[in-house]
Amino acid sequence: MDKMKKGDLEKFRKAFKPDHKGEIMISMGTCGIAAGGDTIYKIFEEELKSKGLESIKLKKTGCLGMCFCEPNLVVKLEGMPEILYGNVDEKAARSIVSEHVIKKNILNNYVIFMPSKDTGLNIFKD
Amino acid sequence: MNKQYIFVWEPETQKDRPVYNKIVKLVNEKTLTDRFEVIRSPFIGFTTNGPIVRIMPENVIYTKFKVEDVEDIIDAHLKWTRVEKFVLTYDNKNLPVQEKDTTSKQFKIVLRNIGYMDPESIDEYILRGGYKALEKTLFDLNPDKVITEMKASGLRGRGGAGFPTGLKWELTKKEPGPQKYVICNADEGDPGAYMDRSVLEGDPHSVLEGMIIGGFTIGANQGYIYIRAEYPLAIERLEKAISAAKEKGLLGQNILGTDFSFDIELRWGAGAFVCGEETALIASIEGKRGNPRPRPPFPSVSGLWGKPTFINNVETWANVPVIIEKGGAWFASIGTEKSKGTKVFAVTGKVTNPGLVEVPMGTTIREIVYDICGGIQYNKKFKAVQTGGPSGGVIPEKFLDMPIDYESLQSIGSIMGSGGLIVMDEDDCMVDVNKFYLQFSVDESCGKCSPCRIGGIQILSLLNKITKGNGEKEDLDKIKSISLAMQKASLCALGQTTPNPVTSALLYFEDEYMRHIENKKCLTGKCRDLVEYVVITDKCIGCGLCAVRCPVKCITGEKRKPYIIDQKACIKCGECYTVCKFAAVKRG
Repeated sequence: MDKMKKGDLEKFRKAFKPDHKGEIMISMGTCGIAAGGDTIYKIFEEELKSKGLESIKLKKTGCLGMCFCEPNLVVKLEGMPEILYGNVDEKAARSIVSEHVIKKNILNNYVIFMPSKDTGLNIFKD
Repeated sequence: MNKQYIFVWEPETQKDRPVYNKIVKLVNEKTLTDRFEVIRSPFIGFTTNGPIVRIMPENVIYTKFKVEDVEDIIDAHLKWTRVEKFVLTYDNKNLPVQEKDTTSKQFKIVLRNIGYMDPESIDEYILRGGYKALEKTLFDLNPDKVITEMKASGLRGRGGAGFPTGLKWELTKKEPGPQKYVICNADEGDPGAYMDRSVLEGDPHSVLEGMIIGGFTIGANQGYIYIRAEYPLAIERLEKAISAAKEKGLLGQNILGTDFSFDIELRWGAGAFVCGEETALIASIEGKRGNPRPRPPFPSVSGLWGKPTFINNVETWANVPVIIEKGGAWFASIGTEKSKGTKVFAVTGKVTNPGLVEVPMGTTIREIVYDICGGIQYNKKFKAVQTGGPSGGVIPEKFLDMPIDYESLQSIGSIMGSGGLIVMDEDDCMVDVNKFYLQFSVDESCGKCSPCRIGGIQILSLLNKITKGNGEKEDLDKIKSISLAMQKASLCALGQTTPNPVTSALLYFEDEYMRHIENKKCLTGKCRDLVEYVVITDKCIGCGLCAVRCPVKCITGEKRKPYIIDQKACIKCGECYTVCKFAAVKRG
């Protein structure tokens, strides 16, 4: 890869086009992994693959700070608000794919909503 | 037609969920199910006494309304308007008006990217504005301008001592070169604290960027991150981040095509608490035993291998890119008069929603414990919070509404520390908690200076004596005089601060100590030698549950007659006290 020069960072930011229609971000700091985040990650990997949902990107992220409801994850889909699910177990993970991602139905029992998650100050936003 | 989402949160006391049911009923009656989706939310980011409704995508939050008002709210949102009188606004005078977040008491600067991006992807960090500050530093600013901004920001060291960061930058830059070093102190050792680990695991590039800017400013080209070997995931992600930044030319030789070169290496600590002290940390990087040495000379004059060394904590470094990008004045507009910006706290202990929070300086402990973290578990009574871990002190209930900053915490006998905040409830015994912290500090003392080595163990043995029921009144005086000697004569901060938990507890909970010494009683049951569990015969209905649950089977009796606890065999586990549904077991 070429080394970046002056102005390349901005060029990269401008040229970037997301190649996915939605993302699932799983909290996987040490705390999240200890609570079972990596098992949940594997389940999503497997479910998304078996259901052919290549347009949904699965991501790891750090500790959201909400350690009381781990494993937790955020589902971001086009045309739907960002939903934070907490205390996600294997069953919930599978239903998030079949209900939320495919049928666009939000799973009431696992929703943990954190306003600062989506409206919280993103200090880098213009 | 766009779909609207209604999130409903109701306090646990309202089990029949009147607001949720009413909204669902209304939406069904008006056949609006295609338009509105109603979602029951177990946590909405903060709690109040009444229900909270939040409507997306308008992002309006309603509080303090009655069940009857729900219809008005729905009708208003059907027409894409709102009912102004119930809309929540949160006024925090500390926040700049244009960026005021009306829905959260948190303000994320250090945790800005965590939870939004993949920490293993440098692209995502760049997309979120990462390395913009580095570019600005290299091409638009010079070292003096960076220092001006850092001084204007009023940022103070987040490791705990609160030394003005801008001044440290200036002092280190003034030292003659050519060889200087930059160090990131990631040796986080306080029990219950994990802020630095979360930053390194969730956003490693922000720390790297801060360090590169620091290196450019003071004229160093080598940086070290001293990190505990107990943080394997943080180490893994940091290593990935370093190699990704090198590949992109953001670290290493000729950064972004300039003639400035800077490299960062990791150094693992073996988990000694004292290595968080800067001189001990430097000795450890040099490959020596992690012992502190007297200061001055400070590391900014003579640090790693005798060269000027620039050492800051993880959280301090993570603040740097934001200050450079947004300007020192912007940063200084957040927080209190003497403490600027935000602070990350790891809230643990007996709190309903433990976790990481980042709040502006000047937020009160009540806001953190009750508004953000949902209050004390199981509706028990608040007793105290411990800030600063084993080097800090306790803050009793009467200071719940005091705004937190470096000075205010010092004035009540505690310290800011690195940000651990341990919440205790009525079931925690202050002497027992102090014993825990003293044991920790005694284990971690390096043994180089005698006040720390001998003083710590003496205080600990006095505490043990008190909790065994052999305490005398004079013991408190002994503790106080040993504490004073340690504070005055210890070589480094570890020894100087070891007595802090005890001295602050004696300030606010002396009556509890006296109860242990004079009455030989521990009301919380934590000190097992000072507690007795007795069945109150009037209240006992003879259900026998305690006898079933007793692990040593020392409770006997006949059904429907008062039971008896055999005091000789009792191991004081308190199980009978916990399981009795009729409050017929007395603790004390």
